[in-house]
Amino acid sequence: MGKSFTVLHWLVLTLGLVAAQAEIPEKAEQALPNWLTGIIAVAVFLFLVFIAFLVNKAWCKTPSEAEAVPTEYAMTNGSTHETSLDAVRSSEDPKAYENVIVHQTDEKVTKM
Amino acid sequence: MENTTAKHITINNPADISVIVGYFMVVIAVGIWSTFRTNRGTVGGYFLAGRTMVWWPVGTSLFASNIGSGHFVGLAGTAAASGIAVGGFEWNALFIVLLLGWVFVPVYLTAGVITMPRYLKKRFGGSRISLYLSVISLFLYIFTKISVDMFSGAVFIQQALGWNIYVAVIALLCITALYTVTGGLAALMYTDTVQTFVIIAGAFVLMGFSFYEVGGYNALLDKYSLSLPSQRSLNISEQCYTPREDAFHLLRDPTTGDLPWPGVLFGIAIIGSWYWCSDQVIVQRCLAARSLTHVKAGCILCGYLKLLPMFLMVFPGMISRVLYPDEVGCVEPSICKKVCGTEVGCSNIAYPKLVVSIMPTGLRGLMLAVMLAALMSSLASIFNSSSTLFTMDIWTRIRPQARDKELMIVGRVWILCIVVISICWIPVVQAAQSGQLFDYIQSVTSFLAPPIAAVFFLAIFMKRVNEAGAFWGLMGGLVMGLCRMVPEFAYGSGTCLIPSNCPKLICGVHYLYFAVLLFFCTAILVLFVSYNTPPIEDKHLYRLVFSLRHSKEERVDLDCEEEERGRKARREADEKEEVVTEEDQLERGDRSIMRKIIGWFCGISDTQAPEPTEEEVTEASKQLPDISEDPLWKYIVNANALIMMSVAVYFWGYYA
Repeated sequence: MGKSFTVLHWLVLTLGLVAAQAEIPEKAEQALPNWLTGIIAVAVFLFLVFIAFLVNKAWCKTPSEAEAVPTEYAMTNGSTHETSLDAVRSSEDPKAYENVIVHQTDEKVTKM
Repeated sequence: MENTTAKHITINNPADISVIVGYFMVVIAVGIWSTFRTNRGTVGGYFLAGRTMVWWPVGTSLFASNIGSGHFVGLAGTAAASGIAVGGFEWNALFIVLLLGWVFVPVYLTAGVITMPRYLKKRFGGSRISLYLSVISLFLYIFTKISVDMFSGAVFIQQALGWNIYVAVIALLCITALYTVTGGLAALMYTDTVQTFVIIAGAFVLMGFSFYEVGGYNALLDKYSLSLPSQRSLNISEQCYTPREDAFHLLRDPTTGDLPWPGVLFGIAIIGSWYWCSDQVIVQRCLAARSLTHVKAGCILCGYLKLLPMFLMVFPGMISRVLYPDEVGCVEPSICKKVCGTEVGCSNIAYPKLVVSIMPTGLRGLMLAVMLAALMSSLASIFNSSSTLFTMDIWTRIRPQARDKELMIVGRVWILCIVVISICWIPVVQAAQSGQLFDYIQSVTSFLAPPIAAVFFLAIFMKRVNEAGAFWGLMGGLVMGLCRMVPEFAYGSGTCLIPSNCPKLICGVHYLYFAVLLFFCTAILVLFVSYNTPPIEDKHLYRLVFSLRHSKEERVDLDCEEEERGRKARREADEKEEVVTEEDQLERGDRSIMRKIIGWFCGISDTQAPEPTEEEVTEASKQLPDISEDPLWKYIVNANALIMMSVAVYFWGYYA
């Protein structure tokens, strides 16, 4: 019983879809008001930016930051360059730091 | 016939004239004020405003040099003929202008160049590329930008005033040339700020009046599709005078649309990246900024301003067709001839028609001031930039011993030459006033610009690209572009009534698609040749490509030998001059007063710093150009860019 109902539903849906397609020039414009297409476009755009941001954070930052670590590390203890410090922060204890040189060679190995 | 008599009496009342006079007073006052603010005696002071501009002159100047009278006539006219899709040209620039500020200008700044050909010279070495680029840029300035502006200025003056075109245009050119010659870039940028205010204020007033006249935005939506000319003969097919069904869509069908959406998104982006990112006129304004943050903020300001043309010009153009379907939307050749003097159509008079018909006395003068502002600001920018190109790239090649003072004089003389060429160009423009000039301009740009855009993109992003690749890419692109351009000019682009008989194989591809195609063909050619020839070593590329822009290594310039030769020649000339001046010091007493006045007028001082010695040059080259930014402001401009892009995407979605 349930199955036949589902089939019927699908049939009606498909018919509706076909019927809608026949009148696309008029219907499609009214289906979405202008402001809604705008909002959707912005949402999609911001989502893409967010993804791009994540990708950038994940891959592109690491090599250049790692090179900058040794000099920055010596000078910027407690300054605004928190990110470079975070890069060498130990995973066990927030107040401890990894050995920078070891850290750097590690990175190079993984990159190879 | 009543129209023609009405035309001639539109602007001769005290209110209009006083507005125009007031406008000229303000422009001249600002020009003089800014002239005193900067040092105009050096190359950096004259051509780059001493690199002291803050963000708002940068942004407004970008906008004003972009918006010419061509926009008022062309945008509004095309909008009257085929709807809002032409606004895509404007809104695409929103993204391109960010590309300029975030990607291209940092590289140009660290390269330490004034002109774009010079950048390519440093990047690739050799001199043939930079010579080709300077020549083709000058060609494009004279035959596309200047002629569009002059043509549209002429249309406006004819329609609105009935003045003699020659008198009007020559007067305009002279005023423009006056403050370009005397003031240099700083004066230009400050007057551009004033011009931007005038343009926006005037256009807003006109927009208000026109929307009031038509009965609001919704009335425009309803009435546009009904705006048919009343007189039409039976043998004209219906699609020639019926407004397009997709008039209110930016993105149109990729095969049948007049501006197909892939072309609007990507083709315009490519043409735009030539216009905004690799063209002297625009880049020079960015290089004059105080710091990179100011450049970025200026780009954002310009981006926001670029949102406006859709509302200030495109919609009023469509309203004009609704209000005057018989004139603006005319289709019968004999009637068109009577209305605007050309047979193919009168959509170009859309904006002038509005100004003449619905603006009250006094505001008409304001609109004339707006048109003059647009015309003068973009012409002045082109004058200044072409003189920069000519002096820095072509003259220094002819006379390597030229000193700053000589360059200043040559730059100013070249502006006068360009003015003369422009005036000689007026009859040609008038002859070509067939309503199709804009098609020609579009096609010239999209057939010649994409190879340049491709080479700049690759030069900045790919270290591997070398001189041979870039040169043969440019040449190949030029040949491909000419293969399309020459037949199109020979056959003519045709109209709705008389389609062109150009073979489908050549002219069938839409010009925006052709731009995309040409871009990628050139890029492939450049890469192919580059990978088959030896690469350029890293030591020549520090701070010349995007990935090495923060590099602090010492760069061995590929053009260093040539520069050294130039310096040596200048030093020798210096010594010779000293001997001469000591001899005739006494004889010069009388002439020197006259010379001083001219010199002061043009901002050229007699005394100039001696040519630096070899040690001083190496010392100076160690001071790296600074593109570091205050992190706080960096985040603020980045966030603003994101907001601006979201706004832009919203509008694209809204009108898609």
